[in-house]
Amino acid sequence: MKIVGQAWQFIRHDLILSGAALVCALLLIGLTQTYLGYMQAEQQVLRSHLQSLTLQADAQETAWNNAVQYGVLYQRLSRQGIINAEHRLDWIEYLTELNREVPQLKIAFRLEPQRPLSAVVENVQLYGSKMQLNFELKNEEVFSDVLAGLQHLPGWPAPEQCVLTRTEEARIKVACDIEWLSIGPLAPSEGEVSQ
Amino acid sequence: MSHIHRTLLLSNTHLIALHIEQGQLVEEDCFGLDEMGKEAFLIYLEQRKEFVFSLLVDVVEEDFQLESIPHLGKTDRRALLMRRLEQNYRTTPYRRFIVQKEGKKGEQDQVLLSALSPAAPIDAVVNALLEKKVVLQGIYSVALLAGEMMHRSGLGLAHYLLISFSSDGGMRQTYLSAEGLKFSRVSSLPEGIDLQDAVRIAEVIVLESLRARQYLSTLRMLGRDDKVQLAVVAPNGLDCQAAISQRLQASGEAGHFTISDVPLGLLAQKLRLPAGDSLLSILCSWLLLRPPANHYGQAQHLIHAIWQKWGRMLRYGAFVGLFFVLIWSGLAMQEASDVQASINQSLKKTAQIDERLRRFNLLLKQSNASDPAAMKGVHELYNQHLLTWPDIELTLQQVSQVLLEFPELSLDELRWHSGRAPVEPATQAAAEAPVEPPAEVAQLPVVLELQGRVEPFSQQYRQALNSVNRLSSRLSTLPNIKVETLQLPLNISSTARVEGQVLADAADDKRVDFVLRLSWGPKAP
Repeated sequence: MKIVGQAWQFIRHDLILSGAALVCALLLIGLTQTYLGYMQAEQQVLRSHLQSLTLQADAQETAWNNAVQYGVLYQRLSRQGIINAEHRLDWIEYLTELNREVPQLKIAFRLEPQRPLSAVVENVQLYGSKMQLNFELKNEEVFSDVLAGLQHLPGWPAPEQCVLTRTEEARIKVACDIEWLSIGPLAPSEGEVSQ
Repeated sequence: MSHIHRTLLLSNTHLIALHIEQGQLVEEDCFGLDEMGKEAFLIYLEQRKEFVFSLLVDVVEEDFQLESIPHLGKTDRRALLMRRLEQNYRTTPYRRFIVQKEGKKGEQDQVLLSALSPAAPIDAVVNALLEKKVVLQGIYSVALLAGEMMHRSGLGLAHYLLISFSSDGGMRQTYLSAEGLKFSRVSSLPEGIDLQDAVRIAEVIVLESLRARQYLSTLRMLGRDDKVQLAVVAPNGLDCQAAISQRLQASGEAGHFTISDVPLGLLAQKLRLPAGDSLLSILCSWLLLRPPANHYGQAQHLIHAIWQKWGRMLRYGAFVGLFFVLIWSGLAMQEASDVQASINQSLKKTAQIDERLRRFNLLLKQSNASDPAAMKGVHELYNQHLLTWPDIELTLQQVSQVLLEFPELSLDELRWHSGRAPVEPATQAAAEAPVEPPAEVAQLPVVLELQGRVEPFSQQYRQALNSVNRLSSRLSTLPNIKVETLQLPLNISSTARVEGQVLADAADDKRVDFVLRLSWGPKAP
C-alpha cells in the first residue's frame, strides 16, 4: 500500500490526464460510432425503400406497356365473349332456333361441363367446353352456314373433329366435336377451397 | 508537466546544489556533510518537492578496475559480473560494470568495474531525497561523466589523459581510450596553490602526468615508448600549454607526451551548452540539460523517478491513443459524410422513381386497365391456341374444288380431325413431363380421310384406278399436304391376293372403291 501511495503521488497528474484523454477518446469513439451507425442504418433503410420502389415502378411500367400493347385485343376478345364466363345460353338459343326454323337439320347437341385446360400464361388460363353436335344436310353449303352461325356467337368454337357421311336418302349426316374455348382467371388448384 | 531540475554535487567535503540561471551555472546552496548540513539539506528539499535532482559524485575514493572475463551469454555475463561486484565492493551499493570491448566466441570481454565509496555520505543524500519523496533521476560519477561528455563532444580525442580540477582542490587525471575510461584518480593540489599561476599549475600537471604514465606503463596499459596525449581542461580559461611544454622539456619526457589544450568555450559550444569556468560546471550543465543514463543509482534509489517515468509514459501513451482516436474519428466522419452524400443521392433518386411510379399509376388508372398481366396472358393464349386452330371450312373448300374435276368419283364419308387435343391439367400431371412451363395444346397434323366410289364402275378397273390415282396426284399439288392412299379399287400389288367378283353397280351401295388420307402440317402461329 505504501508503494501504491508513493506511486500515486508521482503519477496522479499523469493518471488524471491519461484518464481524461481516455474518457475523451471513448466519448469520441462512442459518438462517432453512433453517428456513423445511425447514418449507415438510414442508408440501409433508404436503399431497401429505393429497391422496393424501383420494383414497383418497373412492375407498373410493365403493366402500362402490357395495357398499351394488349389492351385493344383484350377489349375485342372481351366483346366477342371469349374472356371470362362462357355464353351457353346464346349457343343453345341459337341451335334451338335454327332447329325450329329448319327442322330438316335434325339438330342434336350435348354440352360437357367446362374444364380448365393446361395452357396458362400470367394469371389467365384456357378453358374448354366440349359440344357434340349432330345434324343432317342437303348439301355442303348448309354445313358452312351452320359453322358460320356458330362463329358469330359469343365464344370461340374450335372444331376438334367432324365426320360427314352420305346417307341412303342422299343426305349428309354430320357429327362434330366442337371445343368452345374461352380464357379466364386461373382455376383453383385441386384441394383449394372454392369461395 | 515540466519539472525544475537541480544538480547536487557531492564531494568529499560538501554538497552543493546547482542550477542554471540565464545560461549560467549558479550555486544555489551548499551543505556540509555533518548533521547541521543534513538538517539544512532537508529543509532545502522540503521547499523543492516538485524538483527533479541529479546527484553528481566527485570523490577521491571512486575505484575503477579493468578486468578480462571469458565471453559469455548476456545473462551469464551479468550474473558473473554481479558476483564480482559483490566480491569487490561489498560495502557499497553504488557499483556498476560496463562492457567496454566485447570479444568474439573464445575471446575475452573487457569490462570496467567501478564503485563509489564510502557509501555513507551518498546514502545520507539519497535517504534525504527518498524521505522527502523527491525525484532522483540518477547518481553520476564525474570521471565517467567527463569521459562520456568528451566522447560526445566530437573534439577528436581518442587516446588521452584528461586533466581536470575538482571543486575541493583536487586534480583529476582520467585516462580514456576509444573503448572508454581505463583509469581515473584524484590527487590533491599543494596547499595554497594559486589556480591562476600557470607555471605552478603546469608544474603540478607535469608531475602528476609523469606519475600517471608510470602507473599506466606498470599496468601495461601503455608501452614504454607510447606517446600520451595530455588533454588539459584548465580552470577559469587559464592557458598553461606553453608552461607544460617547457616543464616537460625540462623533465626530458617531452617525447612521451603531446599536449592538447581543451578550451572550455569550445567544449561548451560543441555540446551546445552554456559556457562554464570549469569542466565541472559544463558537466553540471550537461546533466541539467541533457541528462545521460544513470551510473550508480539502483532501482530503490530511483524509485520516484521510475514512477514518474511510468506516469510520463502513461500520459504520452494516452495522448498518442487520443491522437489515433482523433484520426480514426476523422476517417469515420469522412465515411459518415460519404454515407450522407449517398443518402442525398438516394433521396433524389427516390423522388425520381416515386414520380415515375405515380405517372404510371395515373396512366393505368386513366386507361381503366384493371389487369395488365391478364391482358398479356390473353394475348399470348389467343395467339398460341385460338389463332392457330385449324380451319375445317378452308380444308373442305380446297378439297371440294379438286373433286369438281373428278365427276366420276363420289364421296360417301369424310372424316376431318383437327389434330388438336386440348390437354387437361389432370392429364398433364399424370405425364412425366414437368408442369412448368405449361404444355401447349398437342398439335398433330390435320387429317382428312376421304372414302368414296368410282361411278359408273362397270368393272373397268384400269379406268377406276386411273381416276383415283389422278385424284391423289391432283391433291398432292395442294400446299403443305401429304396424301396417302389407303385403299384402291383393285389391289394390284404382286404380293396381294386378288379375286375377281362381278358386282352390279346399283346393288352395291356399301362398296368402297378408295380411301385417301390427306394430312397437313400444324398451322404456324
